[in-house]
Amino acid sequence: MDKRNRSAGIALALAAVLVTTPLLPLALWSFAGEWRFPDLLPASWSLRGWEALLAPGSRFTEAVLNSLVIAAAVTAAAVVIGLPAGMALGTHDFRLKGVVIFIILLPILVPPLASTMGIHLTFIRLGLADTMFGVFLVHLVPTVPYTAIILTSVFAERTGELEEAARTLGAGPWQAFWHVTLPQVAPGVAVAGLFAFLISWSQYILTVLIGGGTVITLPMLLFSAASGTDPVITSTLAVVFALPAVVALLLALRYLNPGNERGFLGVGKVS
Amino acid sequence: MIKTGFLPLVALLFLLASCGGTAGEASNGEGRSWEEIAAAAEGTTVNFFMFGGAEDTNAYVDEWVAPRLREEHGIELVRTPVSDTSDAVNKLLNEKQAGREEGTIDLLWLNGENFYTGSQADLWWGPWAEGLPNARYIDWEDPQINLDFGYPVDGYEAPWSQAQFVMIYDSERVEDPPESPDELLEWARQNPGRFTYPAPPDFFGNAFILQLFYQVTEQVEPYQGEFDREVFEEEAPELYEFLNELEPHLWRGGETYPASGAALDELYQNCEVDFTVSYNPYFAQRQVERGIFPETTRTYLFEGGTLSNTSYVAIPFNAPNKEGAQVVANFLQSPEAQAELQRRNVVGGLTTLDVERLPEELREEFEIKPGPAALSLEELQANRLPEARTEWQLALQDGWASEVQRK
Repeated sequence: MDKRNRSAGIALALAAVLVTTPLLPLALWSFAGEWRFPDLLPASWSLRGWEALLAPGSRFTEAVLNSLVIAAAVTAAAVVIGLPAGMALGTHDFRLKGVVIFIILLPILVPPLASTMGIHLTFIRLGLADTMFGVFLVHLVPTVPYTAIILTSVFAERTGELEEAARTLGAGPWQAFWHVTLPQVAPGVAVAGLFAFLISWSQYILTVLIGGGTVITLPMLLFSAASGTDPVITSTLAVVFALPAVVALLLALRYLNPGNERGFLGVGKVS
Repeated sequence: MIKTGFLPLVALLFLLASCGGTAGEASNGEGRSWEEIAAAAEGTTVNFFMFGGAEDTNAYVDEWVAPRLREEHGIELVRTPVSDTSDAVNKLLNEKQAGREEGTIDLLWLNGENFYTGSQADLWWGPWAEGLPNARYIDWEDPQINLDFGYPVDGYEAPWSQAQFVMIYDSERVEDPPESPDELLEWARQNPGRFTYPAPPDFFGNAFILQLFYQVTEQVEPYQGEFDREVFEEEAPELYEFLNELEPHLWRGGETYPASGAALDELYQNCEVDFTVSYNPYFAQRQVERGIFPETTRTYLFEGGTLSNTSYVAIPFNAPNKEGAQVVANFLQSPEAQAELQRRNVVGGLTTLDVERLPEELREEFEIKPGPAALSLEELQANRLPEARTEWQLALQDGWASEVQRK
């Protein structure tokens, strides 16, 4: 192991500790029976929180499935929309480029509540309110700006030489994109997709307004539990809620590892 | 797999189609017998939107109410949790504005400001509540029932449960708990730092200062009506004066107040103060049973009665299943459902029925011997005061911040 690898490993381990430590009390609370100040650990343990999630009427399974389906669809759509935008903005210079970027960023600059109230009225008239599809559409509002901007910076770092070489060797524009560009930007696409997934996964207010309580997602259960007084139920939901972020971290640890040839940092460097 | 999934779907579509057909007739409400309404409700689904933060109440609805509705009335009750009831009211306001005639909420748990806001915008379907068969067990003449935070109900919502403000103390450390403002001040002087109350605008803080406002000004009636700035300016200084006099004897010399009712509970359970407050009269008993509060905990009332309010269920103007919603509301008011609610002390903690109106044999169900930390239902019911209208409460909150907290 060379020096660079070791310091990167330490940095990743530190990141892992920083990410997981705040989750530790949540994990403890989710199995706690009695836990009162000033005890360091719960005085007794129970599965009450987990039983409550699986009890009939809790709608927990439905909520997790809805959240997963919506987040997966939003990820795919946000990447498909953000990729051409990022490619154009990252590789070409044109007049009023700043204005275009500003417009793309507008949805995350304007408070979502303000714009969603108006969207809600339109969606009611279009019959999209209270449907999964409507919730999916409204989740694109905060996610597409992120995928577009992340992919812009990914494309901005590229010189286009490899595509040129491919074109010289007889590849069509589509072939060059498919066989050369896409594999090269794949790690960037993965990061953008991860962002979109986590943003959609954690949406509360947009889902409540457009889904109107009919489309139940995990954050809705979490928020309504958190507005109550039962820390066990809230923590149990929070643990499940945090899982995708933990999984993402583990994946990053696995694939971001500089020693790994298939890692993000390894790809794209012609050395 | 597909085959088995397909048939119920078709059946559901037919069901939805048939519901849509009858909804128009039903919206008149009048002229239909209860049998017809109950028959129309059979086999339908009712979407019940309710605040989801009360785990015991959720369990009561999911585990006790829903299975019985399914067996006895063929109704599928779907509970949708909301973190704030005003989210549901906002949704209805938007739907009203967009002219959406078929919504998704059949029944909504609410009271106070949310009912008032909805009434102003004609969000509630009705009147229907006084026509329920089980309404005969409810005293609709009682202003505790027919006024919701001072606003007339007029049959647009059906009472579900009652809550009442109570004081909680540790009998080992306090022999004779103070029941009037003068006694409280005297007690605080002799026991500096052992009493405090949550800072408004916390829900419990608001209740505490309103409760003392009633007691210090020795009247309740004027605050039930429209807000009157003149009366308020005249009466409120008396309260501020009392609270300022009390302040130096409070916990930490009154420099700071606990931020919420839950924070005060924590001070109490860690023995930093000798009192806490609650809106559920059985809260203390439950905390003792869970081992959270000391065994010597007791509940008591301020003299002259304490604040109490009713929570209701309402049917939105665009509820797709108004018949089902009425059957559910009627079931929630049934003696058996109310007895179970009272046993579990959920929703607001207390039954909304007038127990005197029940047949002899059913009355016993409600004569539960409360644990030593709680009070009997009779004692609570005999000592109730109505909440003030929202504007009075808001004025008190502002007044407290400028006249008590900052002085």
